[in-house]
Amino acid sequence: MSCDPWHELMIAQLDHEIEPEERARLDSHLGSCARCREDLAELQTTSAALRRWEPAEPPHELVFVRRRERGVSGLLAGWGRSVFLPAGVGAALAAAILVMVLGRTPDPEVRKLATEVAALRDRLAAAELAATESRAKLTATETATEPAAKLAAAEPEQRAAPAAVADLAPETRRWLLGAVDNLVRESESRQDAKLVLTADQLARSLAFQRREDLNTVDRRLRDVQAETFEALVSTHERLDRIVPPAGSPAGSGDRLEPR
Amino acid sequence: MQVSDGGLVSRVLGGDVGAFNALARRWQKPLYNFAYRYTGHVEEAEDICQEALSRAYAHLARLRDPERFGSWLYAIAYRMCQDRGRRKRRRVEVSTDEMAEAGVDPSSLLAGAGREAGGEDPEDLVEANELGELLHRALQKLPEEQRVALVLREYQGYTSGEIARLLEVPVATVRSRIFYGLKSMRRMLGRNAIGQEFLKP
Repeated sequence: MSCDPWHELMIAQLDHEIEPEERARLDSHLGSCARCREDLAELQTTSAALRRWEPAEPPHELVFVRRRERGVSGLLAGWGRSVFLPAGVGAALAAAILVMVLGRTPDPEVRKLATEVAALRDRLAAAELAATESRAKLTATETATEPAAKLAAAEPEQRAAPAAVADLAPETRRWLLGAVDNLVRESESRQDAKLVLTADQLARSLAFQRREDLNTVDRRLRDVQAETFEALVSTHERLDRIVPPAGSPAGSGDRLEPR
Repeated sequence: MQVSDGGLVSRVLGGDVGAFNALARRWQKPLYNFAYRYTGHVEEAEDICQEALSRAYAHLARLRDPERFGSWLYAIAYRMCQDRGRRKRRRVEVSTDEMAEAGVDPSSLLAGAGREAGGEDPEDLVEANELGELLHRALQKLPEEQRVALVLREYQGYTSGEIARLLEVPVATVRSRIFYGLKSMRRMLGRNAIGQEFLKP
């Protein structure tokens, strides 16, 4: 009789995806079939051998590059909507990208401009990532501040700040802890009603502070974007003057087709 | 505190395009390793990695369960690997037709082509002198559907049930492919001294 159905059950068992009654059936079959017992043991050692192969590092870190909203001449326009490019591209690699685009060896001026383009892209990508992370942190404080204010109102002696406070920006945290301290001091001399009111004010001020922080993050990102964008456009214009964009790849869809 | 894949996906969809960089950073190494082990080529793997991420970005709104971003990414990359394989095979067919027209016997060249088509050539397995190299060569000799199931299971940490869902193939089929894939791998590893060493229980 063929043991095929047992083979599938063996894999299910090794993956911990076997139903109890299937498991019982498989166990009883293994008790009587030496061939399948051997198969199961071999599957395990083979799988373990395969897993000894460590993952490799990708040759380049990829960074997401969006095409700017405004029309950009030359290279960027030829790239379509968005591309992933290796990050930290040094002069050699930046030049190599241009070779792919232009199909010939760039002269020193082109190489220099390509390096500038790569550096600007890196800077832009880093700024975008930093802004995303800051936004994530600030959004996380939204849930943290309300309980903090309530805690201060309910138990003035409880000085320990909630764990989420540790995630706040340093200025916000200092401000929050100071405010909680004030509340605690106040609670010793004032009545609960007054305290709840103060806690409410505290929550409102914190929300205001957070909005301010978010605005700052956005403002900073916009500055970097504007600055790098202007530089990118002018660098590309200089590049276009040296190498006419006619040779750049047309209609290559979502990404640059290097070959 | 790490934001989940689903959280990052909704941020990107909400207009925070920069959040896609965090997703790309998180997934590029596993994705690259998947493509490298499946295709056997560094450059092709890097290309697939770039293109799969670009496509994922372009079609992000179609992702039904944002927490399954990783599986979705592997599925995109796998489809790209298949397309490339088909294109390559078509090129070979066309060129053999052209050869026949030009009076060359295409079968005289098939000895080399058989090697790529998955024939188990013991010579190059015996020559491998480290485990990674041996596994790299042996994996390339497996039929594609066994290879993808094995790579996802042994290297990307998926179970057979998850692979069935990812590839949209019945789970019994996936388990059978894994079983026969592991059997073939064992046979091939057994031809090499290092392989034999690693197969000891």
